[in-house]
Amino acid sequence: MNKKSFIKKLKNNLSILEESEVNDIIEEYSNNIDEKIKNGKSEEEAIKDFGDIDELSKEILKAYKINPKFVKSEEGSDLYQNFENVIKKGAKKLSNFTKNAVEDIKKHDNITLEFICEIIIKIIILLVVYAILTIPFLALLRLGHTIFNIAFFPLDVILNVIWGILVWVLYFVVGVIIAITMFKSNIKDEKINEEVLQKKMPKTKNNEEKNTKEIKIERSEIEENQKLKKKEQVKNSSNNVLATIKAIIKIFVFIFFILPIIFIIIGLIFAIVGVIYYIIVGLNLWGLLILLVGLTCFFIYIYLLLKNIFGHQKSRIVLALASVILVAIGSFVTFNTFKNIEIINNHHFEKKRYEYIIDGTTTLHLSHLNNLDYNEDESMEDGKIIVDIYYNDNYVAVDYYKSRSNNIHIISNIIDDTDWKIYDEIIDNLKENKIFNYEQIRQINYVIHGNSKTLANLKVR
Amino acid sequence: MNTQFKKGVLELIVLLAVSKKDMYGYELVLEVSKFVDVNDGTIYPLLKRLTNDKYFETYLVDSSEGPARKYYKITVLGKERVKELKKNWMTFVNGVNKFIKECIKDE
Repeated sequence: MNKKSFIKKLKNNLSILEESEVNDIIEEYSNNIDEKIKNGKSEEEAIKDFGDIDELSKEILKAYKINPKFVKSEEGSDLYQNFENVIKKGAKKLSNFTKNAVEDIKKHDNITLEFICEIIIKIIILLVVYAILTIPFLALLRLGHTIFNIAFFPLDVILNVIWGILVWVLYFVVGVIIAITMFKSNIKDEKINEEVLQKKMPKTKNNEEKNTKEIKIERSEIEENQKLKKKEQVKNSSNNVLATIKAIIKIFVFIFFILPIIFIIIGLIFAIVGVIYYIIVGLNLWGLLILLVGLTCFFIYIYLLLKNIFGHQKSRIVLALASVILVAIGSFVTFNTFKNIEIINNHHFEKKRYEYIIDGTTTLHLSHLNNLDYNEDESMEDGKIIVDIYYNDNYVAVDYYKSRSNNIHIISNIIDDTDWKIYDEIIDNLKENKIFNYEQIRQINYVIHGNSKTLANLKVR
Repeated sequence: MNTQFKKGVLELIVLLAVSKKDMYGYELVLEVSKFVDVNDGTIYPLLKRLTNDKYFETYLVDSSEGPARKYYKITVLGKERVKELKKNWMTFVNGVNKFIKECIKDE
C-alpha cells in the first residue's frame, strides 16, 4: 500500500468525523510517514508501522467514543464499494455458515480432515452459488440483446458482442470476489488455529513432566470451552442465514433493478445531450428536454430509493416532486409541439415530359416504378404517347434511351449522397414545423397519356 | 503481551513521557519504542484519545525540515491522571512482587 491509498482509505473510514478533524489526523500521519521516509525507511515500511488500517480506524473512532461497528454498516456511500461490500458480506456469511456446518460434522480434532472437509464443502457451495448467479446474468444478457435488436437494428450485432463480453466479465469479477473472500477467511482461521495450538503445546509439555492428570483436566476444560463456543456459533448461524438472505436479496435487487436503472439514466443523459444539440441547431424541442430531465430525476430518485433498500431512507420529496412536475410540463409541451407539426404527404415533385411515337412492338421499361396512371386522351394521334415523370430532382436523376428494337427505357439514378441530404431536409422541415413522407423521396410516379387504341397496344414493364 | 493489558500500561507510559517534555507524535513513538514494543498504529489513536479526554493539549511548531509539527503538552487534568495511574501501577506491581516472593519462599 502506498501513502496515497493509505490516506484515501483512512479518509473513507473516518468519514463520520468532521472534515477538519479528519484533515488534522491525516496531516499528522502523513507528516509521520514523510519523516520516517527521510530517516531511511521505505514508504511501504512506514505505512506498515500503522498496522492494519481498519484496526487503526477503529482505534481512532474509539478515541471519539464512536462505535466502529455502526460506522462500518453506514460506510461505502459510493456505489461500487457498496456493491463490493454486499458481495463480501454475503460470501463471508456463507463461509461462516459452512464452517459451522463443518464443525458440527467433524468429531475428531484432526485438523487436516477438518480442513479438507471445509474446503470440499466450500467448493460445492461455491459451484452452487456460481450456478445460481448465472440466472440473473443470462437475463441481463438477454435483456441487452432485446433492447439492441429493437433500438439499434443495424448495429445490434456489434453491440450484442460488446454487451456479451461486458456481462461475462462482470460475472467473472463477481465470482472471483466471492471465491477470494470465502477462502481468505479460511486461511486466516487456519493461522489463528495454529497460533493457539502452538501456545497451548509447550504448556502441556511442561505439565506432562510434572503431572499427567493435570493435562487431562486442562484438556477437558478446553473441550468444554470449545463445546460452549460451538453452541454459541450455532445460535449465531441462524442470524447468519437471515443476513445471508438479506445479502442475496440485495445482490438481486442490484442486478435486476439498480443496474438497468443506471443504464437508463446513462441513456437519458445521452438523449438530453442529443436534444440540446438539436435545440442549438434550431429545432423546437424544449418540451422534450423538460420531459427527459424530469424522467432522469425520476429514475435517479428510484435509484436512490433502491440503493438503501435496507438502510434508513432519507426523504427526497423535493426530487420526487420536481420529477413529477417536470414530466407533466414536459409531456404537455411536447404534445403541443408535436400536435402543431404539419404532416405533408405529397412531396415537392419535379415533372419531366417525354413524347414518343410508338408502334405495336414497343415496350416501355420504367425504373423505380412507384405509381403508374394512364390518362386516356382520345384527341391524341394514334401511335403517340406522352410520359409524364414526377420525381424529386434533389434525389433522383432521370433520363431515357431508345433501343434499336424501338423499345424505350426510362432510367433513373439515385444520387449518392442522399442520406445526408434527407437528414438536412428533415431538420430544415422540422424548423418550419413540417414533416413529409420521406419514403417518397426516391420514388418516381409516372402518368402515360395516349388514346385508348395506342395505350392498348403499349406494353409496360 | 496481551494487547488489552499493553494498552492500559501504554497510557501511563505516554502520559509520563509527555509530562517530562512536550513531544510530537513521531518523537514519542521513537521514545516509547525504546522501552516497549509498540507501533504508530497504537500510539497515534492513543494520543487522539488522551487529547479528546483533555489530558493533553496540542500546539503547532514550525519545523525547519518540512511542515509544522503538532506538539502534545500535558494539562492539569493529565497530571492528575498520571498520579492516579502511577499509584495504581505501583500497588499492582508491589502486589505481584510480594506474591512472587512468597511463592519462591514456599518452594
